Amino acid sequence: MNQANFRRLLARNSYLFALLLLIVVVLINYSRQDNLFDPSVLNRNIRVFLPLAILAVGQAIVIIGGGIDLSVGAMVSLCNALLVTWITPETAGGDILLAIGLVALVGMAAGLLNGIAVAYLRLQPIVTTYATSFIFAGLALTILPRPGGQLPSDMTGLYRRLIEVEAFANIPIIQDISILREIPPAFIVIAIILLLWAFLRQTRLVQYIYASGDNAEAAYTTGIPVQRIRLGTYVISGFFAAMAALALTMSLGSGSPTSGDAMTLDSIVAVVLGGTRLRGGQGGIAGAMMGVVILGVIRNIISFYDVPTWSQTLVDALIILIALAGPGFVRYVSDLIRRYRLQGGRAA
Amino acid sequence: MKKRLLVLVLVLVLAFSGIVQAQDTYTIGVSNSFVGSEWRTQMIKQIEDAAAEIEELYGITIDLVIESTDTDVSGQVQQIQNLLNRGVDAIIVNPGDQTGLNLAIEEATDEGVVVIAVDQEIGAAGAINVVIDQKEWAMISAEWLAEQLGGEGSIVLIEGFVGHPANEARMAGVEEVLAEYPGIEVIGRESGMWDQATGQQVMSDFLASLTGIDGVWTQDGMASGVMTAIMDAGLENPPIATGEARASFLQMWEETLMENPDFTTIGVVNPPGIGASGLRVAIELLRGAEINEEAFSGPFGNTLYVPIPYSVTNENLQEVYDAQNIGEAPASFTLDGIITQEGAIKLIAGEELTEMDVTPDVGEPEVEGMDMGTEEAEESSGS
Amino acid sequence: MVTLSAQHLVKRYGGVVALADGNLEVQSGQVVALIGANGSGKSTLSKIITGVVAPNEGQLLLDGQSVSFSSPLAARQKGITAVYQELSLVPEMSISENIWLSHEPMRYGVRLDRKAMQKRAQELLDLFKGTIPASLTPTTPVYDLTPDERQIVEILKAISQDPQLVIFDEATASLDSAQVTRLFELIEDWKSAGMAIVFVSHRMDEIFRVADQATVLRNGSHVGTVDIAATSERQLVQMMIEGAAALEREAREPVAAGAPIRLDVRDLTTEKLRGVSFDLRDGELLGIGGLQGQGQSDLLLAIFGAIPFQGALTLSGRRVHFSHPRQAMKQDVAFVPGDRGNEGLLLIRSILDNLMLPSLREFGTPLRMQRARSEAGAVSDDLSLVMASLDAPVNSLSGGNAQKVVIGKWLLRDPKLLLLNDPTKGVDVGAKGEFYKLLADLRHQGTAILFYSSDDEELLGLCDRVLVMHDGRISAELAGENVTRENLVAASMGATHHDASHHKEEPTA
Repeated sequence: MNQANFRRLLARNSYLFALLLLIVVVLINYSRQDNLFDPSVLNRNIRVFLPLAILAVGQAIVIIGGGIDLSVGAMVSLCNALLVTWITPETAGGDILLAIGLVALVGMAAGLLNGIAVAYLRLQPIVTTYATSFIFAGLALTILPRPGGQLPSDMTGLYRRLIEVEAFANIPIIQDISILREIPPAFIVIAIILLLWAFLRQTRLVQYIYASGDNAEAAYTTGIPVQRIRLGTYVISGFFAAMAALALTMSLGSGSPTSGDAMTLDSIVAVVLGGTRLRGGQGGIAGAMMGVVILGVIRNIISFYDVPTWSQTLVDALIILIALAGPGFVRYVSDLIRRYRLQGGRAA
Repeated sequence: MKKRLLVLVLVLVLAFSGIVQAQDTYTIGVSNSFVGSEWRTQMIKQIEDAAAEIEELYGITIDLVIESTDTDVSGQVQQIQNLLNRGVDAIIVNPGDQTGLNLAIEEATDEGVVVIAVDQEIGAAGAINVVIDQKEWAMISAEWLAEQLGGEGSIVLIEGFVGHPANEARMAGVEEVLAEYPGIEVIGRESGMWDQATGQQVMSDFLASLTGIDGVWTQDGMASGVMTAIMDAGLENPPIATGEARASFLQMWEETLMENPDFTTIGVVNPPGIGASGLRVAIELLRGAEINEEAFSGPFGNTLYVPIPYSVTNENLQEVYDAQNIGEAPASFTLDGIITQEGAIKLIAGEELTEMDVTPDVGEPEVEGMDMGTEEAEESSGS
Repeated sequence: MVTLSAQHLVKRYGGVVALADGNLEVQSGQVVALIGANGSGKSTLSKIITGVVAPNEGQLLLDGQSVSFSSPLAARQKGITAVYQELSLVPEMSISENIWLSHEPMRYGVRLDRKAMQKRAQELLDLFKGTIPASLTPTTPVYDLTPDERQIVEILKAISQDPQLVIFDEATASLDSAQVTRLFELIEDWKSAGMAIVFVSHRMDEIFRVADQATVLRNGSHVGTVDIAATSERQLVQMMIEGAAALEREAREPVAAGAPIRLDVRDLTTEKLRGVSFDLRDGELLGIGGLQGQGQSDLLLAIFGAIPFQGALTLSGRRVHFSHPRQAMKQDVAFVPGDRGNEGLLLIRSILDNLMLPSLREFGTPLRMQRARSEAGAVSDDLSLVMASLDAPVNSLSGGNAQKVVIGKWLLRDPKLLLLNDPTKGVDVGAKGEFYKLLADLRHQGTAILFYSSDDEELLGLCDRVLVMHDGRISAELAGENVTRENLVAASMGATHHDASHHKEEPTA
């Protein structure tokens, strides 16, 4: 393939490689797990992926804007701790919504702290957010010193149960497609996020985020308020961390002061798998969500292919590495082929 | 004609189900979310060995599906779900989170899967905990320390992760013991994070800042660090410290005794074989054993406590050393204790277990003529 | 009508005075050229006017009212904007997205009106129709553009804001002559429509073609403003450089006919080159000319092994085919890139580090720093590098001095074949003079030099022979008497090829 075309194709559709990879890993998974597409199995899988998927969306937006957020996992822990502290099995519906609203505000406040430090005090994003992550993790431990808490079963049930679409039950063809009759709730959340993004992509705000991340100096001289935009990306990331915590809490039904800590690096890996480069200005959130699903499906594959116990971690890491190296490798090979063609005589 | 066909079908069905029953295959899932520890490695190894032994014992097939990667709560939820999707009959889980797995485990028990939590007690409905009593475990060494000191003196406590359930249970046991020895004063208490190097650091700090430390109570791998710190200090009257039951510690112990016959410590076995014990219980339940509700105890009323295997002191060090060939053992090897299959039956029935019911390793089946009726097994596989 | 007047502007960065006394006046329908050597304060003055930096002292009057801009946005709201030198584009975005960035046409107040953006971007692109490839559309991503195309997008981006005052900061440096001609036609139009224009340029001929007045800065201070009609090139140069040691071209001695052939190129073909053949002798300075983007850079890069090619290369009598620059370097070939920021220098590393980089191998392991320092010192003396010390970072140097480092780091290796890729682009007059002297010295020492320049004067003044490229081929080889401006321009336009003349404009200059 022509190098310029290849690059353009990837740049315009940064998620393309992720999509290809997603199809491949799902097929590999499916070849050993034929119930993969059963609504209940699909639901079980996707509801576990959802918290990280939401988190990766926030991370992707920060990275596109030219930053990085190493505190998202700790924010999830903090919000998870707050949720199980404020919501007990006896909490009434209105109070639950209030608690969720407050947690969203806490997430955005945490993001604001990061944003001010990075955008206005001009501190290095990696170091700054690494440092603030300890603040958030410390707060989580203070609020919830040991694992515990319980959500109302209505709330956990809402997250876990398939949504049955009665209207489709009698329509021919559709009624035979079980996944349309019984929809995992996580699908609806993902659909809402994607639709929202599709709309936001057409606004100035997102246009500015891309421009600031791509070439901050150019954006500034063009009259874009780069600092405010960068601040905004961290606040958005904080909001998504709070929503990821909500999903995680509904998924687990309880809280732990370290529940989200391991999610930070996974969120970054997912963003990169999704075709977003760490230097900013390019990529998107659909790819990031695909990256999350890829990471999850890789775990399934390891499980269903009976990888020997002692090599599971190694195989997991190797597959992720190969996936990350994929686009670069393809580019390298296409370059080699081009060189070979040019040097190998005048045929054609 | 119709009748004959029906009979034929019936015969075929019976014959087929007979074959299935004769096969007696159990698929057992194992979920472990932390691979950075030798203890966990030994746990899984023992499960594999025990499975092989049980296969021979009962003439059955056990398919082990082991999920063991470093992961967080969500990852372990996914492990359990994958095991469910593979249609396992039972799950042995070492929970990485005290509450976070409950919903996933309840989903499994709802589907009739036997779930045994080992090493850590959880409250998920339908799950059974097979663990040692961490509180009692700690009390043994605390009691020993108090007696060594003659009920008088100043001690320091070096604990694991504050807030971790196992640590909390252990410290509660220590406090209970110390309450009976008013002559013993705790002059320092800090966390060594269950880490050898941190334990060493904390002990060095104590030795530098406090005078007159007579005793040290600590746990697990931190004990090696504490001992190193005490030796490095080169005190005339070094404090007496509790130890651990890992080969590396026992080797150090043995060497120290040669130079200083007055040296003393204690290692209480915290068995990695608890996973294998859990497997034995799971198999019995799958084969139709009815659990005696009276056997349950623990914080959630769903725990079967496995007796603490034994303790190592100066008296039996040489014996253990030779019997387990500690001199040759890898440093990370931990002294172990696994209940026998008969022990598992007793545990479920709520009977007292004796020393005979706990073996230091998964060996050849010691109990001959285990005549668990095969009829019973066939009944259970039908359910 | 608009009048902008900058009065006694001062800008200090720490202890360094970038602008000591900046004065400028421009009004509607007027083109004022802002000229001065590198480091004279032109850029700083431009940045203050467009709100990129704030002055420490002095004032800016807009129609008699004192104004101060806290950001480029504030300046733009007053109708003041700038065309930067490839500075303000966002590479991953398309042409139309870049043009409309921060003043996008909206639908319902929230959604970008992409249709309108593209339609109007196309109208703007049509202004340069004929001088840019027809394949350029509003949706082409900027990273696919050549430097001249990017520069045109920069211009269109500024114009799309309907500004009252535009500063063109070296806006023609990347453009070829047809594009420059078109730009000047457009400037005439904009001028008569009432726009005020400040034109910052190094190119004297352009200043005389487009400007009404010239304001000259020297060492951060205003030297004077003169009417173009009443001045001469020599006079402006005199104002720009103290003492005014105007460039005396060295009389060329012919290359010794018996000098050995260093490089022989036969049928060199790449994606852009369509069969190029020539030879180059020791001690010869061979120029490569032509419009920009005709394959000149490809030619140099292919010889250096940086891009794949077909064809036969003979270096010092041996057939070679480099597939990596390292191989070429081993054979004493050196390459000096034109884009010093991206290709030539590690900007935050020290001058010494940069000079040593290609020769690290020669200094052994561990590095013999004493020797490296003395050799680097000798080279920087030869180049009369103006610097605080060898340990100062390269980005503390002025543009001309930084370019010297790019060349100097190769001189440490004592190359036999020197490939120069438009090395004087954006370099001030004084630094150019020193550079020409350096070339002459190298030539005397017997170095074979292949010299691509976008500045026709350099080629005409310095080279023994000039190869003029057009459309991936050598359209003319000029030597001796034939090295004239007329021949060069004619060949640049592809006049010797009857079939390959898609540039309709008459040759200019």
